[in-house]
Amino acid sequence: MPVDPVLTFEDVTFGYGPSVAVEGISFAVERGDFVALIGPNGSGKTTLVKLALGLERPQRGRVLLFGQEVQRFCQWHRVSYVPQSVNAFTVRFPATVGEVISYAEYRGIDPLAILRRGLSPAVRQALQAVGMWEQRGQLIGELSGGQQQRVLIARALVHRTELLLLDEPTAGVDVAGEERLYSLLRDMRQQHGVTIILVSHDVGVVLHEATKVVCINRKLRFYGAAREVTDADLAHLYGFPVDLVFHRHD
Amino acid sequence: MPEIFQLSFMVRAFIGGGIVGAIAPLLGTFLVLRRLSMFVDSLAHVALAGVAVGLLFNRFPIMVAVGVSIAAAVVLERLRASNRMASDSALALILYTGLAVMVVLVSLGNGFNVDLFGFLFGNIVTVGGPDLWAMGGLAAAVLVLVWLLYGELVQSTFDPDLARVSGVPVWRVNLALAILTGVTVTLSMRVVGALLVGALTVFPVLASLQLGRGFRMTLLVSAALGIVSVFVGLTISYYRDIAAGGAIVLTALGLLVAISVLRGMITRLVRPASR
Repeated sequence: MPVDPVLTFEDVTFGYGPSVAVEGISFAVERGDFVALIGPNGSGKTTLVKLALGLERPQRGRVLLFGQEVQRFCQWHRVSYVPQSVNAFTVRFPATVGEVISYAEYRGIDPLAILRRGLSPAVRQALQAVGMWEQRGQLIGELSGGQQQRVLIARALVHRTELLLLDEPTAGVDVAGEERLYSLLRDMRQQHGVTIILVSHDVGVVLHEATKVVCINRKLRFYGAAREVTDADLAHLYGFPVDLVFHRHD
Repeated sequence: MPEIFQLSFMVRAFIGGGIVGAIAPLLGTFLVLRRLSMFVDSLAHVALAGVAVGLLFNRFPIMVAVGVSIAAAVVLERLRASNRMASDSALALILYTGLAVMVVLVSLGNGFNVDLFGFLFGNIVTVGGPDLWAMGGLAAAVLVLVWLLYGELVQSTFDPDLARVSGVPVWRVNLALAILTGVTVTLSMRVVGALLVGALTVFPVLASLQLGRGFRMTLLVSAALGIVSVFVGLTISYYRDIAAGGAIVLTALGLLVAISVLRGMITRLVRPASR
């Protein structure tokens, strides 16, 4: 029996007001893929992620999540999202790291939620996986940018997600943190079969890690295996000559 | 028994004020953390227009104000959700529309300006038995909402997009919060006045955020500070013969300043300068 792609874009066009952000986008992400979403600033990468999550509604075409139109999709426990930043990081949000990661365990209206204390085993595991166990009682606003990013990633680890979307998760993260993230993503994909879609500007690294690449600059410029992307494709995408330098993982 | 508690209107003022003092900051915690501190102010001006309509036609000004502020809360949420304009622009639109309608109605209805003043600046001694029942019902509704939808309210405050992707019905949660805020604003007008109800919603929250370790504690502390502000403000107002609304808000401001200063001193003591 054929299995539905995890995510499908069918001729999707979307714009903010009169300006078109993405136009005529069509591609499908298969189960277990690690897709890197790359393109210059303002090319529509974040818009594509928002469309994939139903946070924006296409003006033309449609987006399918696990074979279902995203606006009608309700099995959100199968999806995790790591945004670039969140509202709470810009205000003095009174929640601890442990509390914020526990939010990911949401399963609908729960009259006992206000009484619940302590961390579940899944939350403890997620805290340890991202190296934030020691900071579990610290307020989220007291963390550095890199630590806040790790908290958002930990949320994605709490439930056995099937699709993980990350929007520039390594912005503000040091080299060690970046390597720790990619190692975590490799484990999630290889051991648990998680499908990953990652937006990044670090072209060299993501092409090394990803299995497929979506190159976008308002329109889809390339979609295929990461190893097939050439310097010429990237030069066409970014508008200037690009030399790919791959990082070694010895 | 102190003289102040021998007067039935003051007892009603303490009960009504205590209720409003607790629930306004409870809802205010979610509004402040969503950067919607002016939400209450916008609804208060619309509620004033509703009061003016009621006074003009001599028909249930409070009930008209409740209806109008609920309608305004729904419009405000729809505007914010549609992304057609920034949140602060939507708030300004509602606020000035309410104000303009009120000014026009005041000019039409010679004679009710004195009654309107009571809603503008508060007149807590006019809080009657039916008002207390309405405030009690509202307090019960707010407590049930926060209890039942605690997870949803916190998540959609933390980040609305992340909440949607977690399956939280953000639009419906926001709507419930907006409607209850509208009703709270209207029923609080007698206590502190439309011009100051926003301060009672925001100041205790700002003070609580200086202390809070965790969301639940912040909610509890902000409600407690709201009640203290009302009780102390009312007492000062009674013995010094000054306006209750102003006294309550200045007490809340005093608590905010005192807590901020204390926090700064404690931080300096705990973390001495590393030179």
